[in-house]
Amino acid sequence: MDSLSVDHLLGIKQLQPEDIDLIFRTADHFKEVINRPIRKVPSLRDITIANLFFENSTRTKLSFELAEKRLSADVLNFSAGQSSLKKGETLIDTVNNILAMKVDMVVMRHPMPGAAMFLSREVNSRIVNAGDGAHEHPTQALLDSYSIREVHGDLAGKKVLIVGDITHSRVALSNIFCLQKMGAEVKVCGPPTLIPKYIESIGVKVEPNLRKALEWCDVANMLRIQLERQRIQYFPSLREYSLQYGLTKQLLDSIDNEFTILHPGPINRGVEITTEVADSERSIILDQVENGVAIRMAVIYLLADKIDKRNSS
Amino acid sequence: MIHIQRAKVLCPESRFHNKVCDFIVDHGKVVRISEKPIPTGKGTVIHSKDLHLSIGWFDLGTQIGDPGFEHKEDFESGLAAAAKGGFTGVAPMPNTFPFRDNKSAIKYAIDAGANHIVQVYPIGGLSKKGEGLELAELYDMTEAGASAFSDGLNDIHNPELQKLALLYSDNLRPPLLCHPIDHQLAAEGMMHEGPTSTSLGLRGIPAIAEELRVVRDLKLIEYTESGMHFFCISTKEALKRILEANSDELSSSVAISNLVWNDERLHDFDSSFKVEPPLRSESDRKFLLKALKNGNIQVLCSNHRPHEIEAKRCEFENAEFGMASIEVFLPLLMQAFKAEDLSEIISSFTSNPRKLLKLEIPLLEEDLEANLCLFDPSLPADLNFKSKAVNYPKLNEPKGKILGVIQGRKNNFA
Repeated sequence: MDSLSVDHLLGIKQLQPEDIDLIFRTADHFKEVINRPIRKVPSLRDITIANLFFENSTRTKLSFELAEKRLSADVLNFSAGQSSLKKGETLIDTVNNILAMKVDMVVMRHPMPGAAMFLSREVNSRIVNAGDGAHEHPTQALLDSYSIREVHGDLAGKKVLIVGDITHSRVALSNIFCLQKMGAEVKVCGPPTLIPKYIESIGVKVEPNLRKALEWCDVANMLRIQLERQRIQYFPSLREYSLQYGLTKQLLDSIDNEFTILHPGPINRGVEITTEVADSERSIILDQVENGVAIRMAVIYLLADKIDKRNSS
Repeated sequence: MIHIQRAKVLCPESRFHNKVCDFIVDHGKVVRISEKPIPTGKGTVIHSKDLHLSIGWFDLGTQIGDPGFEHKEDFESGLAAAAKGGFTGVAPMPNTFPFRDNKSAIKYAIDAGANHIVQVYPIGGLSKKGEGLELAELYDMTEAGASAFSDGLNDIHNPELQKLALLYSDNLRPPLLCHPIDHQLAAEGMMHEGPTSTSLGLRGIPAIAEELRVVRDLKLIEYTESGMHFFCISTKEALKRILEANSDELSSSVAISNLVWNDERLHDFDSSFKVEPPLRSESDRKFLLKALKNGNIQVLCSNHRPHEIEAKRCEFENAEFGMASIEVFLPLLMQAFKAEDLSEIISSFTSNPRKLLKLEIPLLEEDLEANLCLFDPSLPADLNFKSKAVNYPKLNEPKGKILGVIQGRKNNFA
């Protein structure tokens, strides 16, 4: 397989395991590229990419932008602050206006689930979902799995724990789909108020006790508490959350299991993870960030192959 | 003169039920019904390979946005759509702007249908402005011709007001229609809570939000010794509670969409299927389907909720709830049921809603005014819609064509 089975990256759900494998193999190549003295390739010199961020983002936006520039694509940045969406323009009109400037690919972050899928039906462009509400964040899941693969090799049979706010997390959902497609086993842990009632219907087990969960896993992915997406108070205080679900050095030292620690960032130090743990040898948080660029280069490179220049806007 | 040839009669109240008959309609009256073919004479002849005849259909709780939301549907387009869908009577919900909560608004709606083939029996608002705070002038609206009282798809959150509404309306002719939903449990929900909502990252509307409101209302009904119609039930557990209460003063309805699809239909975020009540689980769908067939649900409604393109062609969360359905009611019926089931369920959209609203039920007898629907369930559906709505569901080779309706001297045969 040397081409993706999809025309857009809307979510992990639509990918085949072979697609994920192809993205990983392509990312291996780009990871080597970004560690060369000249960290750039001319692959996408004739491609223009618009990064549309209708929700705040720092690291994902920077990571995409860097990936695009490393591939020599022309890059257009657009964020909600400058947007005409606030003036009442529809999403389709906003995007079509940008596409009229001859843009080939759109990377979009949007606060609403399904926004990327909706856009892919309505506009003539390749779409990369950079996070849509609590639905999916496929490149984050790909880079997480890729980072786990670097440490543990094949993902099949690996035990991965996701800790935190599962209800509001697109990272959790995409990670679950990605890990399952690659044969890993997934458990989630967090306050019962932040675990969806039907989570087990998508093949995930729930372990409410953090210690037991950590004793079980090969990898623990500590999610950030998404206060901005919670419409009511799901737990009494951050302090109390930290007491029950925070990963501290003391807890880490008391568990006889050498698991790897991931965090999608940004970290709330002292809430879901303490500084000593985040900066410890077990943590591969900064490797995730580096791999993020390689994974996004791979995704954009593979999707660029799907652009039909004759019909492109 | 209209000569209807070899039509299978679907009218459980008639001695011709399930028989194949010829009908002659002249000057607005059925002048002859014959089980034997009548020789073709003058006038319009109506025949079709699988012709069916029933009394004109009746839609409970149609949304017609007149006044206030005429860009979605006004009476002219809404009633034309209803007639095209096989209906000769509609009871529109009061969710207009301003809210239909007074006698002049009731009269406006009645007048809009006065010379139309489709008669309008407006539902009056239960609370002032539909805010759920104070009772509207129910007696005055009864005198003006209100057919029922409801706050539409809003619910009466305050149990004290619901108690007062049950007590106060008990002496009045129009029944109380309530769509049971606990809005706090359902808050910001986009679809049924279940495996599909979980995998889509969409906030769910739990089934318990409906059941909980039914349980509360059943206790209030028991306390006030009154009755109620539960409008558009969507879950198995809520219906079970209503059936357990075993009271003649209780009845319920279901929306056709809840019998055709389940929540998995939303897998691709298609906003056409974002409806209220939401498409529920397959187990709910099957239970409701069976309940309609065996009479445990008395009324089937289109739950027609028309929208303009901007209301639906947007992000799923921004899309408005509702599906335009009144003109595809028969094609949807034919998706949910087999043709032979029609004789069992026909009352649920002909005589039962009229009984509920204490309206006169048209009879199939000679020398009485004609109020008829003629349809062929096996013909391809006619998708040239009269409604202003753009949110009709996309159907794959839909079957079921309405040939026309007759009400007195009016008909809409092409």
